Amino acid sequence: MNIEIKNLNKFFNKFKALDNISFTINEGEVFGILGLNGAGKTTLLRCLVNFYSFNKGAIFFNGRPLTESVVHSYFGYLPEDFQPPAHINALELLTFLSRPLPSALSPAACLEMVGLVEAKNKKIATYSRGMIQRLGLAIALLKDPAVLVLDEPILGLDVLGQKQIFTLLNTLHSKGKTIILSTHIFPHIELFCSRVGIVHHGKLAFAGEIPELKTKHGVSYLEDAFLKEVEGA
Amino acid sequence: MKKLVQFILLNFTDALREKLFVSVVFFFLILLGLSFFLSVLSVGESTRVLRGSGLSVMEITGLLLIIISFTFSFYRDKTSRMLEIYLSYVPRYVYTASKVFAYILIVFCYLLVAGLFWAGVLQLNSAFFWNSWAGIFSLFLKLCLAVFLSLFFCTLCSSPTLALLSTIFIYFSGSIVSEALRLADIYFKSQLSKTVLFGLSYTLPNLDKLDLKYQLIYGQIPGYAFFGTAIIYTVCYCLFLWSVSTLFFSHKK
Repeated sequence: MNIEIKNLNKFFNKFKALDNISFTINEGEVFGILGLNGAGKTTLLRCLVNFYSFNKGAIFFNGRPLTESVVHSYFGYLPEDFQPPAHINALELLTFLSRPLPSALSPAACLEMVGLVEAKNKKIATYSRGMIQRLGLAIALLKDPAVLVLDEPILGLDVLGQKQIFTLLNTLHSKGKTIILSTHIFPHIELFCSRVGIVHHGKLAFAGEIPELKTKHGVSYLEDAFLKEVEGA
Repeated sequence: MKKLVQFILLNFTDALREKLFVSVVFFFLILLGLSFFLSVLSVGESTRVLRGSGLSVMEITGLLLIIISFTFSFYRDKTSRMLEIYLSYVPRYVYTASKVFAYILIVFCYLLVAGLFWAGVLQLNSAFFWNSWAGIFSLFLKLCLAVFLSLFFCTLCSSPTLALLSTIFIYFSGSIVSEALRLADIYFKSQLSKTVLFGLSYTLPNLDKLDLKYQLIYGQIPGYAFFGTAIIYTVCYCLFLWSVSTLFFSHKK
């Protein structure tokens, strides 16, 4: 179930947010999207989950155009810095979302995966940022999706929380899930992602394996390679 | 259908637990208490004052509850980015439909609670009659229209304040449209102006025609034909508003 992005162009009025972006994400791989603030990472992810339309180009999922129903069936999505409804609890929210799904995981199982079992009956209003991120991940996992699209999944998490999330993502990866994520934390990307794409000023500056990027710029760290790539772009 | 029902329940549960709902019920009780004292002061007219003011208070508080809660909930989904999550689960038309149906349920619950209190006050003053519930039903239809108007302006306007003000403006314009037409007929000489105004009056929701306050004050109630027509008109108007709103909302950024 690979995803192919072909010549994707996205405008916001006259501003070109995505400029002719093309790359492929293979089934079962972890693809990291890197970029400075405002580079177009979130716009790209929003196009990937069909939240935004695009002006030119196409996205294919398994050789067929990506449609709303494909996203509903195969994609789990965690947006950046989201805030769930405050007056209900995690279990209720997940139950409402999972009931109509034919092949959903149980809400309790999802909450256990992200380590939120003990807080499942507490109002979301009382959750910390880290707990909310975990809840977001539980929502994304609920459909048991083939593809996980995660926009800054470890935002606001402490070191332990980050470790737990990446351990969980590793488990999901080993189960064959395709994971697409954007994050600013380079050590995690280096450990976790098989390939990366660097988006800069709406253009795809690089797409490929991490060692290839490092060799290209003759550096040992991904962060240095990334900086050289965007400074040279 | 299952998705729609679950999203209705999700929105309904969240909205019902908001402090605003309890605050509006509390505000309604204060106003109902005031209308009770007003009726005591209106010697000889206390029954009519109680009936009229009770329904008016219910309408104003219900309207406040609906448009504030609905509008801010709609924009909160956008700013909190829950909308992106919801739309990765359901199509946009299901989202808009679930939002309005959840608030119709809220209207129903609110009018039920408020109606029971009002009936209690009327009963205490020997002013209760079963047809009072017909007045509440007509309010329900009006507030349903307010929910759909809110949806329309939420999908059209970029800010919640603008959506809120537009909804209030259209709601009250719709409530006085007959009176405005009557005045226009007297003072406007140009046929073109009259035609434009008549055209506009048909576009606006004719909320004044759904209003039963004045009949109920005098203990009168229209026949079944009125209710049949009122229900059909409300359903058609709401369906039209929902279709247009969903069309706007489906236009992705």
